Amino acid sequence: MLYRAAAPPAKRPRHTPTGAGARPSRRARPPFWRNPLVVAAMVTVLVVVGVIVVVAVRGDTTSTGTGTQAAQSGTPASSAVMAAVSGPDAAVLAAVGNGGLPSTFTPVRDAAALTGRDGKPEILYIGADYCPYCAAQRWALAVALGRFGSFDRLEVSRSSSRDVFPDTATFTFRNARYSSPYLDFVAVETADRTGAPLQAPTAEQQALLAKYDAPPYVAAASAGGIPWLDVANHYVMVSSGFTPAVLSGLSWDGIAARLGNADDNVARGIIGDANNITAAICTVTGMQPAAVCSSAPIAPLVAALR
Amino acid sequence: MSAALRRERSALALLVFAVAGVGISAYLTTLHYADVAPVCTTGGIVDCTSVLQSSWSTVPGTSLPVAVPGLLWFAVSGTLALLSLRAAASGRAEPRGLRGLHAFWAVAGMVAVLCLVWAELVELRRICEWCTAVHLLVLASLLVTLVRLQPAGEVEAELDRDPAA
Repeated sequence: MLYRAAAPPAKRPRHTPTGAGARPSRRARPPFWRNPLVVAAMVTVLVVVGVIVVVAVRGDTTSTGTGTQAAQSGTPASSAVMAAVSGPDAAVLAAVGNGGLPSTFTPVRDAAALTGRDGKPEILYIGADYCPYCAAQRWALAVALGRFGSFDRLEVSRSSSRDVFPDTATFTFRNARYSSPYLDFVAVETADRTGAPLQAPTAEQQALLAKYDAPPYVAAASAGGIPWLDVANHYVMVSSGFTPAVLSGLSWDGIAARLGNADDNVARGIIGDANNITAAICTVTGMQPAAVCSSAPIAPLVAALR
Repeated sequence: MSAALRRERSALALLVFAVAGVGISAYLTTLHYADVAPVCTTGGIVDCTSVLQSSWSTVPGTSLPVAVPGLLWFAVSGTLALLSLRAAASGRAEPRGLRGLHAFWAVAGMVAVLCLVWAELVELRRICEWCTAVHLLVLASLLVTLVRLQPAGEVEAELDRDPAA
């Protein structure tokens, strides 16, 4: 007896075209695409995927939990977020190292040092609120700068809803005030999260951007890109040091909470990038403060940078 | 291959899908824990590195990569297919409800896949080709399990009763 693949079907009148008693001809199983269950499943899957594609194209994230919150520019970062950014655990900083992220700084060897009004080395950041890579870079930059000074007003923001890695939780430097005995920090946010113009770079900043956000300092494909970071005309860097994907779907508090776990991708991205930025900054502050620049893992990162 | 096994080609297909899925899931799981970049496209809309490093690459509330439940899903699917094949090879009837259970398992897998597709297209705007391969394997498994829910052709049943068969 042949294996019966399923329960015997209900009896129907036997169709015997060649007469009674003739061996029944094998009637092939209908093609699978005529199977009503298959058709229903395919239609369902296609409809759902179609809806997802439409939502993605429209940038409509109104049902994605934390990703749905409107931009909250103008709202200061919570104390929990500020604490996590300005005072990360030293053990975590050391354990993460560069987080497996190679430094993407390019040395600038032919330029006069960029300094602020009182002669301190100037760190110049140019980005925009809508830009998801800026969103990622701001976290690392805030952690790095927090080791040399303090922010007075750091507001939360989100990247554009219509770009890649939409609605990435971040800060905006548009109203931030930063003070440090070691350096000056200047930030220019050129547009808000909708792309509307916000802050215009000065002529000097435009000139730096035109010269150092271009080959050979950055790859031709990245020329003119943001975020762009100039460490006192000693090192320049374009784009973020880690992918904004690690922040996707997370709130500010969620990101801040993950900074305490050295094994978490968020910590490895933000702190790894921050350590690389810290090392670059240490090269222009004369390795000051020593507690930062001579600590693990900054000292070896500085040595590698040089 | 025996006639019985030839008639269980659909179960064989399910087993092949499961083996492929286990392979890919194991690869992605290994990448996660070894902290190694995957072999795939980076940059642009197809960017598996970004997807696999994203917060959506782990089970919510844990640090467990979603590749692990994926691996388990394919392992269970393969086991169910093996049960069908073993019954066919020994000429015994399949355990009752096996096909229904496999179809239910496939539907559950497809629901999870659609959630992950949402994360890729809406939350990340990035597509991971390894993930897409896994998603297609789950879809193929679903379709095959649904085909297997359809009772065997009446004529086949008649052939069972036909001494000449």
